[in-house]
Amino acid sequence: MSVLSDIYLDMAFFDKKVKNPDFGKEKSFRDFFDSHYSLVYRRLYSLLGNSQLSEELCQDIFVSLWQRRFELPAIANWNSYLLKSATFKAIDYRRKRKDILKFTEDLDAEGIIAEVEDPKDEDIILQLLDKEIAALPDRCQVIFKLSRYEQMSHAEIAKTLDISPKTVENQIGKALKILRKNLLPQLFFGLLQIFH
Amino acid sequence: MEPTDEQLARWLERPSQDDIQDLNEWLDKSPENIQKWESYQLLWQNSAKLASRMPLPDRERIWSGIEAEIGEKKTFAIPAFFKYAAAAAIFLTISVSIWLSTSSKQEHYIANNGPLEIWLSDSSRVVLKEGAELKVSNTYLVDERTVVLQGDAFFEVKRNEEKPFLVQTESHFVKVLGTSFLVQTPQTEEATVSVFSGKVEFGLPSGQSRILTKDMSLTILGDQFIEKEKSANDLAWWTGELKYDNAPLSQFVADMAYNFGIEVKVSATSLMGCGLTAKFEGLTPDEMVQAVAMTFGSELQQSSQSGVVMQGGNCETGGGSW
Repeated sequence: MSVLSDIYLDMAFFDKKVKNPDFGKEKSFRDFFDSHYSLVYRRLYSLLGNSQLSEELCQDIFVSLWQRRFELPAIANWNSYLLKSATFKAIDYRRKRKDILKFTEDLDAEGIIAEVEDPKDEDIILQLLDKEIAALPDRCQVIFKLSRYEQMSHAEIAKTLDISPKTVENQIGKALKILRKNLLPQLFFGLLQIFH
Repeated sequence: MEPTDEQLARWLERPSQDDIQDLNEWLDKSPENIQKWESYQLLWQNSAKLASRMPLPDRERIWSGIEAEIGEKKTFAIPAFFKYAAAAAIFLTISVSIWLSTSSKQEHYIANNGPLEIWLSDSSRVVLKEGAELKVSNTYLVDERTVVLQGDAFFEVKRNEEKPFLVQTESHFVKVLGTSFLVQTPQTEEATVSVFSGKVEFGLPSGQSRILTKDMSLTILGDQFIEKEKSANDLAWWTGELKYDNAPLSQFVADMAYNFGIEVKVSATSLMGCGLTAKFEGLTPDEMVQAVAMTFGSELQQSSQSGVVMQGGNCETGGGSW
């Protein structure tokens, strides 16, 4: 019954309760996905550092939106809504799967230490920094990544996570102090420079 | 003295006048502090560069996963087992009607895997027996309510006096205002309409027709009009229910063949006239046959995939309820 195969996807069109026109049909939902997926993926990757995992969670976010399309209120700013969803998705994942994330990071870090011999390689130095950031305490790490990888202001981070700006500042300062302590040899020998 | 965590964070992003003053005071205290400040700035700026090292997402791969999830419930054939039919029907209810309201062509439904329930845009319901086909024009409800049927189907039509509901079969028509009825078309020249509620007009396009009311059943064979008693058992393919009040076993055999495509052979022809009083609800067709065989003390043998033979038995016992 190929003629009927896409009926389910047209449900939203029939049900006038859908308040977000992009969810009216599969085609428009596809367009909506195309214009927003990279934003979502990027935020997930920033916080999780694993592309396959980020793609999977990105799928989950869009599937969930589709499934809740009848309940969703009209959303004026999709970018901020999706970024917030992605942020919490990643935080939630980190919380539940901390052991797994930590394990893979540890494995990688061992490889990096051997490679760091060649100090001229910008990639390797940055990779080392990346690994140190990934080893930060969870809460501290998420906030620091939002600031540095996502270029969010302290106020924006506070708003996204529903925490006080003071907490954001506190965690970012803490992150910097830990990083400096752990990367002291590299910093001391001038290996970590500002690359242009 | 070290800056507090909050201070350090503020010095790096949008420091206030006070923050800048604090920073300068701290830097003036020792050259070591200047070195520290430089390393913080290095960390701050280099970590921002890490974002550009992100591997690019594979858009099609992500979408294919989403598509698989959201397109999951595309199946429309209702399983033959009635237990599941209800759940499936609820789903069909919504989906089919939307599609009718958005589609631009005539739509063609085929029940190729068990009964197919279709809800039309005016909430009228059509249940196609396996093998039946229904065509619904995109102008359904706009101009009129006409559907084209091939095979057997049960209709529950919402009342709309301005737009009568018209079923066209190859050689007959059924016209109604609002009612429920069963249409059976075993062959081109033959059709039977059984009315479950309301009033219908059943006839030939050439002009001859008859008005039928509740519980009436009429067969038109060629140009002959044959009235008979309506049997709810003719709808067992949808309801899964069969009821007999001292009916001959031959009726049960006919019902199993018509409703479920199960060929029951009775080895002792004398048994065919035995009276059966029974009510079957919530049983599979196979279980119904087993129950009847048990009633008459017959042995049951599978003769083919859809055929069974009732061996031996007698008329003595004849009723039961399952």
